[in-house]
Amino acid sequence: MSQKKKLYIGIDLGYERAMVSLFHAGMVEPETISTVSGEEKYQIPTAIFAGRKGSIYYGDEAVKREESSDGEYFDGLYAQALAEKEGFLYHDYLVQYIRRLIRLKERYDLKGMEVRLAIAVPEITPDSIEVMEYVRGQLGFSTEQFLVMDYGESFFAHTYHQDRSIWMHDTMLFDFSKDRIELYTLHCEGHTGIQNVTAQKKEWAVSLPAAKDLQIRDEYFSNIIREAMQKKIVSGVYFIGDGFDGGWLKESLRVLGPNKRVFLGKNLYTRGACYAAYRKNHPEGWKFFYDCDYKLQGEISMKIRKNGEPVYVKLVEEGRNWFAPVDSFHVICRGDPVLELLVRQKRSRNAKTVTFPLEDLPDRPAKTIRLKVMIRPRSGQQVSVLLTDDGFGELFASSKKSWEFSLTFGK
Amino acid sequence: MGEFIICSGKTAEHAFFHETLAVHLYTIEELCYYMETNLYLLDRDWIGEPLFQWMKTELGLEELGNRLQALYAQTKDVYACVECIFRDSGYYSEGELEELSAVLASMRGKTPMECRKMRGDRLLAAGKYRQAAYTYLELLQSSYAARMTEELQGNILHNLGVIYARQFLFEEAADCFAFAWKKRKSEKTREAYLYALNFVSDNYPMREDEMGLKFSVMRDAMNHFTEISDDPGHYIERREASEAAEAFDWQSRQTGLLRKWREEYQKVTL
Repeated sequence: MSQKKKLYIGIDLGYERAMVSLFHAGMVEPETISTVSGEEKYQIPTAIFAGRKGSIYYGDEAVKREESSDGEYFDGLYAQALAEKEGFLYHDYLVQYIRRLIRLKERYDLKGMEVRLAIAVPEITPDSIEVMEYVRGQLGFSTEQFLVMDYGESFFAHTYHQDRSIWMHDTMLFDFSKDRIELYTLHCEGHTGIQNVTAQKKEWAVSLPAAKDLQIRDEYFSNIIREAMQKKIVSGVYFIGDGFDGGWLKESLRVLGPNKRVFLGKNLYTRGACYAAYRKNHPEGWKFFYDCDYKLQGEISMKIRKNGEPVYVKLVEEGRNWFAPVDSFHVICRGDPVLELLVRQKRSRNAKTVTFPLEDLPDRPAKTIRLKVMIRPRSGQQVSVLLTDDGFGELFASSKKSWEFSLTFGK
Repeated sequence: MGEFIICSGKTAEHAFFHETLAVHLYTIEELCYYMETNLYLLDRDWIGEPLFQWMKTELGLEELGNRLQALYAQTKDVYACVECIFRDSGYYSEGELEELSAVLASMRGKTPMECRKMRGDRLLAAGKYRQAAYTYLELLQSSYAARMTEELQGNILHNLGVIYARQFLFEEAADCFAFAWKKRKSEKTREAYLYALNFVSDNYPMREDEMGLKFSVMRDAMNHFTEISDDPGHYIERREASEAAEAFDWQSRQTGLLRKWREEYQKVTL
């Protein structure tokens, strides 16, 4: 059976604008789609205009119609979807918007390729996961075809696909958008085997004088650089965001000093998302692991009898995204079982055994209590194990009883 | 302490159904449980090619299905196939598999009717009186009874009497023992009849002639009852009641004891 060639689409989905990049096996690096041919105009406002006659405009075309009375204008789609507590109006417009972004691939001759989509968002929160899961479902992507990450991970994916001279020491990214400067510092640990990369995040609010006056801004930012670089060896620095427009980086570059690779741009997150999607499909040879608070901080196994032998079945794998889907499975209870879990903290060799007795089991003949075991990670630190009585086919209906046990790594 | 057994195979999208079973089965565990509790129903009517094919396509048990197909084609032995399913299911412990193997071995060469009787006996031994009674009553229907020896009918009636007696239905029990005596003259049955008479109403017919109740019979029975009453193992409930009555917290002890007996009674009548 011939496998379809994969097209990796990376979207940087910000609160106010988005960017799209494409990548496939025949390319050297991802290509960011410009909305105006021949120009580097990558940013697409997260806005939709729904005309009364059914026509839908998105991005700049929507913004142009903001004041029009011929329809309704919606902007900040992602931010609005995150805040949406009732209904799915913004969720649905966001789905339409992302569908249009995906259709940008039609400008290229890429017919017949299977799309793998990666979306980088500013922050991973339960709300952002809920919105992204909705989007995935509506767009009809399987969990294999779809990936969500935060800007830190996208920065990581981008950086470690660059020349080693950029990431041989720490790598920094300054994101200056509106009145805030965010800094991500990538730090790599270990030199053999899988190398663990972490991203430290720091934020500064930009004062009004610095926002207005470019010279003050330069001075203010050079102080931020001094603070950020303290006790650090840095080999690569990225400046991204509209805040760096205007050619004001003078004193700041001097403070930055020599022996560093420095880049200025805007499309890093979208390109990083492309690389991450590619790596999800091609993990072979990739020796970097990104560690952050949404990666599970340990592993959990459950003691079960399989073919007559006691075995430990892994429920939770260290390093996976807590929001990634986890397979459920069924067990049969024999007698009055005690849930026995083996919990191992990240980077620890020792595991501890935790037991939970199952009380108030349904009154049924022996071996007819079938429980569905589901894993519900709540965060990188906290995981719940949920057991529900699934009944025994037509022979015994479910009692609808369930048992939930919560575990926190490091406790 | 109990344990968890992992379920093997998939849950079928399309259930296995056969009119003999009158139930839809979706997993290998359900199949095993159903076969185990209905061993007397195991026959070529439904254990054969369609079942093995279903296991392959619906449960994803390709290798087991192939093995069963080959085994069945070679031996036509339903019990061998069932044992193979039990073994591969992962549903049983080694001890349980040995027990099931022994039961299956004892069923080889038996008629369906005898198998059904064995099922009733197993249910009775397990204290599942209601299900055991249904099995025996079904066997006593004329269509089956006509094909049974008097000896077998007598045994079934005796066991039915035991079930009634254990549910405190002593007149029904005495009737069953009397019918059983008619079918085959067993001293055990006559003694059981006499014991049941202790608890029947005054106007219940004694059947002295019918049951051959002579002085020597009554004397032997009385001696046996005395032997039994000397064995404290038969009077657990009486001891528990007396201990509860003498306890400092006698009221709560008696209430607890009553609750326990009620629950036990409800369980055995299921």
